[in-house]
Amino acid sequence: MSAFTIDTETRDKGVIAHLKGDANNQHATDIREAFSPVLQERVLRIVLDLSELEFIASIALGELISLRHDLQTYGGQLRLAGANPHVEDVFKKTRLAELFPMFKDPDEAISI
Amino acid sequence: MPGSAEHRLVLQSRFDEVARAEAAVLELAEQHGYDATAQFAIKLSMEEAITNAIKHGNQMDPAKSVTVTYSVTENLARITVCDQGGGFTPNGVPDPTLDENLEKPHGRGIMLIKAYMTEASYSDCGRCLTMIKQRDCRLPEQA
Repeated sequence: MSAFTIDTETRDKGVIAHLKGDANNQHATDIREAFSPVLQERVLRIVLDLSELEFIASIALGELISLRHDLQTYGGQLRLAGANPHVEDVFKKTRLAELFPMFKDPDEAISI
Repeated sequence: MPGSAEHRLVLQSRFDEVARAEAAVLELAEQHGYDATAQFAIKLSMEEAITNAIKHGNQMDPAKSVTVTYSVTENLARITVCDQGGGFTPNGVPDPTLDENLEKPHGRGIMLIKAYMTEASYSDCGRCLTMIKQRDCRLPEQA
């Protein structure tokens, strides 16, 4: 098991958050805590860099849905980038890929 | 070959117990040469099954435990997760992939297990879930 970490990076057009390790059900609520200050600042675009995310489970998916909802309440957007094939497959099988725009890399996702 | 025997772990009703069971099964899967895709499927399914057992089955009751029974052979991994809760009706769980449920933040665990395992079946009034991952067949090389 790899430790789950979230590091945020502020850019001109929003925030890129680098998710690393295992987003398992035990640590899923870390997502809510990590983005609480970003939401308070009403950042309009959050890009989740998933390139080093090795695993994601259902409670973490639910946290991302809630984050997307909170952003949408003030007109913000949530985008995903760089997911490995296993993580991307989870989004496809659950049909959540239809809710989250997915990009190849975070720089592209934050700038378009 | 190690791993063909049946093993049993008894977990406390805490989320930090889940990784211990996953690691034990994945170690055997690795020894038997299961590829990264199969190992991801097993890990995700165990994560969801044990989480459900702790959260919905045992209701996080520290007096109750979750029993994980498992065996891994070259061709097949079989994992059974049993809780000590009141049971439930699996067919009563809404399909999270329907349009009307897509934005709901909960209810994807069982769907993921069914999507990633070859077989998944409940017994003991929903208290036990047996999951099977059939490894892709390796055919003999043509002469």
